[in-house]
Amino acid sequence: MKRTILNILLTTILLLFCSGCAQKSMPNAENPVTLNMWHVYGSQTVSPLNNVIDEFNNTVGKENGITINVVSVTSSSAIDKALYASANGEPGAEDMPDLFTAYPRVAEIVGYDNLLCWNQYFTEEELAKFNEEFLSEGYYDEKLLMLPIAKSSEAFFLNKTLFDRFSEETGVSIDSLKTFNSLFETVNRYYDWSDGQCFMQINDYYNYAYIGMKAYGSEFIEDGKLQLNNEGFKKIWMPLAKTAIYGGIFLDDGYAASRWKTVEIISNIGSTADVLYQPNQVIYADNSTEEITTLTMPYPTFVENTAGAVYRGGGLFAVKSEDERKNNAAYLFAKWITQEQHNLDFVTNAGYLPVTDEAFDSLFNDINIVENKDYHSLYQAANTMIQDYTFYALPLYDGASNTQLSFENNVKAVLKSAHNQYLRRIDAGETPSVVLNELAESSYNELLSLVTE
Amino acid sequence: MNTVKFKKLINEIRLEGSNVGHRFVLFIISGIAIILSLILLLLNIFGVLNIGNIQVMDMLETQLQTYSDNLEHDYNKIAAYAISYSKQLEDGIQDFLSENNLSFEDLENDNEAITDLQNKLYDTVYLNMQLAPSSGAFYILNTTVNSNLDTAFYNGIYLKYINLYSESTVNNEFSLYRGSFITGKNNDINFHSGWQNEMKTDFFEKCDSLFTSDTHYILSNAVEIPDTWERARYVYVPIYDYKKNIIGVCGFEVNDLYFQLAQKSNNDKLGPIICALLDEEQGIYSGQFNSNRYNSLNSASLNVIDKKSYTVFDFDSEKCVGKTKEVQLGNDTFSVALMLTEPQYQKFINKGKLTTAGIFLFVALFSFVCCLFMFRKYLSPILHKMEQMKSKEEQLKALELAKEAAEEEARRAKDAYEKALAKYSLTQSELIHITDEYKKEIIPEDYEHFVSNLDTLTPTEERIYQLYQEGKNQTEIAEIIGIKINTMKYHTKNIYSKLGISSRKQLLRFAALKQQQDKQGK
Repeated sequence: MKRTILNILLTTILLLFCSGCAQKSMPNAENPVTLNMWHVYGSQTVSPLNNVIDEFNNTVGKENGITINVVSVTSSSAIDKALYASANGEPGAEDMPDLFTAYPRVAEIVGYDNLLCWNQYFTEEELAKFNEEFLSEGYYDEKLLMLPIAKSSEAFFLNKTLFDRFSEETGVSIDSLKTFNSLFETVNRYYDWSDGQCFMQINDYYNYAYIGMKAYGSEFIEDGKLQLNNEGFKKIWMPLAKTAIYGGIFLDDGYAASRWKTVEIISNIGSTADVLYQPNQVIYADNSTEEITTLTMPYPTFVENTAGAVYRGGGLFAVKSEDERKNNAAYLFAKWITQEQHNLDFVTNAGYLPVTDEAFDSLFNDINIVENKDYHSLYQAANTMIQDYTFYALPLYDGASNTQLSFENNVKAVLKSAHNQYLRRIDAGETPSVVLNELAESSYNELLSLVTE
Repeated sequence: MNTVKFKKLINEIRLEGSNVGHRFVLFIISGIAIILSLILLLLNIFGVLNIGNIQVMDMLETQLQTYSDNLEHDYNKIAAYAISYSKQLEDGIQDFLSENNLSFEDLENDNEAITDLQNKLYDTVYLNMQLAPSSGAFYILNTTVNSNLDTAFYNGIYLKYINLYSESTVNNEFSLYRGSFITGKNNDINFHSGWQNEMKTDFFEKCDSLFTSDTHYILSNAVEIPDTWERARYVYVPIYDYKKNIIGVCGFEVNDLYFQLAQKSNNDKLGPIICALLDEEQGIYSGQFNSNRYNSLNSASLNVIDKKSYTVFDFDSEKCVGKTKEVQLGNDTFSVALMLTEPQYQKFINKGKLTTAGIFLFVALFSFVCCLFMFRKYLSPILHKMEQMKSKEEQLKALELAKEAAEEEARRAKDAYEKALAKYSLTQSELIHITDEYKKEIIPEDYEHFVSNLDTLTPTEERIYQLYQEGKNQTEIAEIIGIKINTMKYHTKNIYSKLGISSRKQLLRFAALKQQQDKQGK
């Protein structure tokens, strides 16, 4: 009898002890944890991820004592910079956030061992729900350090109100915007028609080159190096260069959305997430405004039947904590935000694509689930691309981020310089077509030399 | 007598080496301690005695003092920059107007002049934004590039930091939120997603009442920033023309995010603390919190309920518990609040209850053990001896009662004896008297015959004779001997015949005489 009582007592103590351990490793309302987060999913005007995070905080977060505290909604380059500053303990740098969204390149900055390994928390069954290709981007050896929560591609955005005005007067069809060749012709016509206004901005020349060269059967990047000195690159460079030098492509830095608002441009090629930034009105110098309609079209093609586009978007990283409650809190949040409905709520309000197969099917089986009607043309364009396009993930290699940034700056600098030369030479009375060809050729050589350096 | 015995007993125990008085007091104290502990335990369980709350509130109170001092300091610092900023703008505007031979009123609808003025003032705005601990800087003038629009707009520059992630804004990216497109282009700055050329404000409708002679600056309530998802407070001061007329307003923005980055608060013991700067308008509270979660909750409605020792912050969907302190910032009074989430607070309350209950329980148990120990070792023997004493007293009482009863009995017996003795003497003298009388009546021969024939009686007859002598009648004697009345008569007749007598009366006379003579003979 005595032995039985003793056994019961010991078992009770052991169970209490174990439940104590479990409580210590799991967050709860009495011992709340706050996870500071930096993310890129939002503009200065709206942040759909913040809205979804609010929902998490007020439901699952509240029950489990987890608060996701968004410290910064910023750009991926700003996050890279801030992470670098934090990781190196630079004066004035903030503490490393607990959660952040970024491209795979940051793993090296933060240190692979400092990041939470998601596949230690997610079960295989849970991971199997993710789009395999999206998930594969987050693996570093066997460790899943970056969890996809939203992906984007690239699309063509058009200020349809102003384009229709142009179209009515010139007869240029909207179909001319489907391929790069006809698009560039339209750009030039708009430049002439508008008395020297830019038609468009291309946000990523790196992606333009990558997809263009794929279309022509060559590779833009090989062994971590850009391949410009070949016919493939030249094929995509020359039409672009001629159009930009002529003046129809906006070459300054800055967000396309701002240029839309001031009517400096009426279209741009950029991330599907740019839809967040698209204004619904333009403002003229006398402070008068005009309501506009935006149309989203698939990424223009280079060659018929070889349509392609890149997948964009990083993923969610968590900084590994000694406090296991924080690690579990990060897992609970990541799991929640990638659940079908929550993921759809988030991505469809931000112009992104969902990351699980189920959510993907739900969205493209019925685009009407997208609450914001202004986004319907975006998801119709995305659906077309999903049906007809080949998607590519940009290759990850040492220094990829700097290479990309440098390429963008060089392209814009070379073309801007060539455009200014063109204007000067035309003013000086030279033949435009001859000057254009010469400058296109020289810009190619200049870019080649800059990239080679 | 009992007291003497008790003292004797106490002395006996003292002799055994124990200070019983002292132990007894301790016993009483222990008993009281048990009762008190149990009362406190119950009070604690029912929440009347809330030690956890006292501890938490003490910690919050200390932190609140420091926190409100810091806030006051921060906002005064921003205000000082705003005042300096205003002076620089006043000088800049005055210079511009003088250089261009314009009055302030001439600026209205003059897009070119206003844009030039913006370009001139841009550096001042930018530099002051860099200096002041804020998330943005602005100035608004009471003029516009187009007064013919349906809505009234005001011209100025409003710069905002973008991608804020640190309180330190050095080298942080910023954008043109409001201002001329040309100003943005000329200074190569990014346009905010919500950029617009000019601003809407109701400031100029009420600026005269806002700024009185003793108003140094105004700290606005937390308001939504148009075309953004942000909320902010503004620290602002007026811009005067040379005639001291208010022609504009300038200041700095402190948005929720910057407030969050600048006002961190944690406590090792309490964990994350929610800090807020609240303003109240007609009983409705709003404000800025150091957590975006509560900033978004607050946009619904916040009810602040003052309790005795703490304040409840009711956000509808959840509650927080903490402390508030009023601070004067600018022209208005604000409430600085520090709070914990309800479960977080409840954890400390429960912990306090548990600790207190543990202490009281321990004290109660310890006192109980002390009581038990002292009862067994000291009090129990005393009680036992007292019990014994009590028993002896009872016995003594019983004995005394028995003695009294025996004495009473003896007294009564003595009385009876004396009475019997007196009766006997009386009877004796009567008998002598009767005998003497009989002697005078009795014929001596008959009596001689009687005496001499007594020996002739049979045993049965002798027995009957004796019974007659004792005063029994015929019937009684027949019953005693167990014979029939006729047999009795037969024996009586024989006795009479043998003794020579004729009646029972004669028989009794002769028998009494004989008895007296026998006694005298002896």
